[in-house]
Amino acid sequence: VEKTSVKGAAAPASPTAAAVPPAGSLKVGLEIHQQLQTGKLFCRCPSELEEHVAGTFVRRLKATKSEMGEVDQAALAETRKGRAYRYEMTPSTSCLVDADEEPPHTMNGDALKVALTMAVTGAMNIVDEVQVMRKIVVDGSNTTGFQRTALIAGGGALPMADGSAFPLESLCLEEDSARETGGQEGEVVYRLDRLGIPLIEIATAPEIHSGEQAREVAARIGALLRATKRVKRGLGTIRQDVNISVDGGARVELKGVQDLRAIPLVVDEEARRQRRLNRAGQVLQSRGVDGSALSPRTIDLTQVLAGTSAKIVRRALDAGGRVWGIPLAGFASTLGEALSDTPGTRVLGPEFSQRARVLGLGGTIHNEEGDLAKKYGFSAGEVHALRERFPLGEHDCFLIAAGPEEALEKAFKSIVERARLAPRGVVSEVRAVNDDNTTRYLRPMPGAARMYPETDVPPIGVSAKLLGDVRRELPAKPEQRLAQLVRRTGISPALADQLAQTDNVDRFDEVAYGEQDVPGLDAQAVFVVNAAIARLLLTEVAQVERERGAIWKDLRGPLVQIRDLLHQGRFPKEAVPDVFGAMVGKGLSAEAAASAFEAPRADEARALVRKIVEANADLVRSKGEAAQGPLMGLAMKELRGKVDGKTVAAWLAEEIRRLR
Amino acid sequence: MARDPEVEKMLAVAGVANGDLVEVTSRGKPVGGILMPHSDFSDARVIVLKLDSGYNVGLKLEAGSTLRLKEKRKARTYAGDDAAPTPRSADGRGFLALIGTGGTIASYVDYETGAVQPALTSRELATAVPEITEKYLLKPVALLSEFSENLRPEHWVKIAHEVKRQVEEGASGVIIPHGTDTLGFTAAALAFMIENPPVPIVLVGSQRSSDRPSSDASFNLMCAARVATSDIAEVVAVMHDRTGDERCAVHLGVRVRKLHASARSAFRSINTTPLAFTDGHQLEVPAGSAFRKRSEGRKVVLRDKLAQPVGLLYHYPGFPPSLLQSAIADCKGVVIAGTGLGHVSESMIEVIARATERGYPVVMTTQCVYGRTGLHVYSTGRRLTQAGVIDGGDMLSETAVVKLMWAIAHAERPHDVRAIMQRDLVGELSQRRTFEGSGEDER
Repeated sequence: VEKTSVKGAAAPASPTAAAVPPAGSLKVGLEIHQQLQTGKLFCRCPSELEEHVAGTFVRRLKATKSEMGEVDQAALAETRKGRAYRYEMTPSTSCLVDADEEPPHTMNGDALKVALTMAVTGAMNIVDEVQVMRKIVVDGSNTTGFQRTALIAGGGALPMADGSAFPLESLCLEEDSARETGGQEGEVVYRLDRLGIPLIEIATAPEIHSGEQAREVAARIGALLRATKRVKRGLGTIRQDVNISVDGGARVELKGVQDLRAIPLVVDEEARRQRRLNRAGQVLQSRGVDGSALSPRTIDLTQVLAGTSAKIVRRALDAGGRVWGIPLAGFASTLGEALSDTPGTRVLGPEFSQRARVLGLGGTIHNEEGDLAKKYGFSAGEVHALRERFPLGEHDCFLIAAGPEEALEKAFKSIVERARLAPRGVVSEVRAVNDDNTTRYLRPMPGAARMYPETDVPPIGVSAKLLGDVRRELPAKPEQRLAQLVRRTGISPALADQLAQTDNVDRFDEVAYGEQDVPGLDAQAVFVVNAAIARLLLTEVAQVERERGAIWKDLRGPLVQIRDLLHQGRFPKEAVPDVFGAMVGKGLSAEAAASAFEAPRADEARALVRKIVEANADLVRSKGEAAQGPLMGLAMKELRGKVDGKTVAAWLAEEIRRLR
Repeated sequence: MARDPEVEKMLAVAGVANGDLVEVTSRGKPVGGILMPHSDFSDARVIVLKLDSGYNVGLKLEAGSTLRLKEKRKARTYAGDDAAPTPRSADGRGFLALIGTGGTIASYVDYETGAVQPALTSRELATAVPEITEKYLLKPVALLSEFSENLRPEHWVKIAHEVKRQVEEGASGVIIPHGTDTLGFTAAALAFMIENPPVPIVLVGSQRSSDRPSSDASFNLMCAARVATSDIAEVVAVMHDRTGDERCAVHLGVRVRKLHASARSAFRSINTTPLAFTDGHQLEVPAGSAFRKRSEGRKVVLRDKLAQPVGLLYHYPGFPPSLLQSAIADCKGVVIAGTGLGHVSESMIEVIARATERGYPVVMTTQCVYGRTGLHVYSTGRRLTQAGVIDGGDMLSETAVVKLMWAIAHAERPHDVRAIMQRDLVGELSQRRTFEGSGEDER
């Protein structure tokens, strides 16, 4: 969901908005999209994904006239291309509303309540009557061609855990899109299960000034959302878009940052990229390069390179493609690494090649990539011929690409567009995040969102009673909840924090003992069991889920059994990971796993320690107490998981003293 | 609900009209936006503002709220003079006439209010359907602007006359965009009124308004235009065959029924199969499909009288015979959609017998939609036959109503109505039904 303008209900009337921020400034705003577990927003399907596909149908979307009676040219082009969208119907999770074959039902009241809960939590200005809008989206991800969305609240501030507040801009409740599951030439396949799942979209003010702060704010929003207990959990259920600008430059939107921990890295990478572009822009300006004067004329190099054995070009030519090139007057040093602060990272070159890739080419080649003969396998003669075709002045560059003619035409149009803007530095656009936290060009920033009222859904009054209910049922803040958890289960605040950061609080709450759960027993013993279970959640359970997917339903039972057996003293807490492994990995019953790791009788273990010390009597005599270190290693090799380390250490010390 | 008078007063005092830029302060925070028209579903004290972002929000004006005009804005008007762009072919003939009657397909959205507006002029009509104007020589005529639930038999007559005029002026096919709710009725009426049509007369509708990117209007129209240039000189309805935008079915007008309230594939041929299918380019005519062939030399003959009103009663357990009695008193004829093979409860039979004795027409159809009446199978049927009921056979109940209006008006003597009703005139009745047309896959 792309936002293009400030949505605050309060008119933003800051006269200082035009003031140029100091160089070195970083402005970041977040848009968090969270799926709700309440069932879909405008039909009564569940908020679940489904693997079973009952059938498919094909639709096309048509360009519609805008408010001003104009047809959107991009949409019209899509229509003319005749792009088809194939939709997969899922029997349990989609219905005729999702297929755009039945009018939407009234808005899901539970979902609205969750949205209002968040709006109240953020002390936002809530509208008196919710008006559902249609926002035009023609990429096929909505069967209707629009997304239903409603502004619930504006303004307000996010209560941070430390008591400070972070300004918010808006909160919307909207439909999620269908999920793309495949596609081929001219056809995209979408599944209808995700379409219509409610999304809360929270946009912060662009007042975040570091990557770390962005992570903190995103984490806080996530934690507050989860505190409602009505949100979906797991991969893909929360998506973060990050808006970034540096030094008062253009805003770039990064789509779908999945991992919170990556946010600081992504922000830093993107800020560096933007500053590189600004430096290149300054160089171009200082040379008087006038973007608008740049000729879009390309040169056909197919003949020149007809016999080349440079792989990328060869492949394109063999497939019937052509090679085009374009001179870039005045661009010297801006394409390659010269102005980069990061070795191996070029400046404008990647901007061009990413655009080429989006439009179906393999990439681009330019003269600031080092030795072209070496890098791509051009012959010396070909390099010479290229240089002849592009007589380079002191400040000139050239760029070539190979591929089908149609793709070349589009790609070079896009490349020229980008080159023309290069003197300005950063270009406002939408980018995707790569696995290495760098970003790549996705598409231009969309124009103002086209929205008009969804007349099939009546407006929903936000009554005083409804707001009263929401206020009364406001969930505990995450920090209050954690404090309660620490009190109840006896784990350390640090451990509780780790559980919170890994989204394990609810699970731990489910399986941990409370003091009152084991009446008459030693609270300390209960706490020890809980701590062991918490660590199990943080490490082994997380590991298993990474490998096998979200299978909490299957893991909950074993965890409860381990907890009880541990509490009965059937095995030492050190053996918990092994017992878990035996149960979940090898499929052993709890009993069998426990027996396998049963604690040895204390006197046997004690005897083993004595035996080890005696066998190393020379060492003990020569080193004295310092022998305990190496001996501890030997002892634990035998006793790890069976006797707790502290006890072994105490025994060792005793035996060493005895021997001396 | 209309706006509260006090809210109206506040607006008037501030000199604010819909479309103006205003600033509202309620509960402290000022909110700026464009004042939108009031929705019937909104609270009376709520005003709706469109914010800069495009979102609309509803704000309640309460004691202490203030409202201020920030900028007077001109109400936007939509281009629409009636200078219909009449295309000119070399001889002024061979165009497709596009006769607008209203409905979802011939409407556009007012993007500010989201309300769907009917195309009122020929130009609006033409611009509502940009795709076919590129491919076909089109002459748009904005004849009516009615949601189809508001159409009356007089409108059918008006449409029939316009069809005749257009064909006489050289139309090589006629497309009639129509609301889907009663599209089948109009199709049947035209089929009975226009004798031996020389060119295709194609009714087409859409289930999703054309302001939506997913609208079926465009595809249905492209398909309708394809059929209008075909050899099928019948009154037909062209609509989505399945939910996907892959092909439309061409239904005989007297045989088509809307079977779903909202789906694109709502229209089905009943007791028969579609005459043809098309994707807007190719026309696929199944083997054995029978229809009247195009012959542009044929003269259009109108037999446009309709008797009104005619009643349609749907029988059910506990149906009060008095309802039938009053229908008979009020109407010139009655169609009863009976249960199963065409049955009504015993208590009704006497009422029917009394009416038919004096030549009053009572027609029996089946409410099962698929299949035909069978008045000789059970004693009820036999008694109904004895009571003088006219057997509607496998005619759609809706078609039977239209045909009865037409038959009463065109019968020379009252008892001729029976013969007209029981004779197949334009394909509305058949003696043979195949598995393919039995709706086996539709139920």
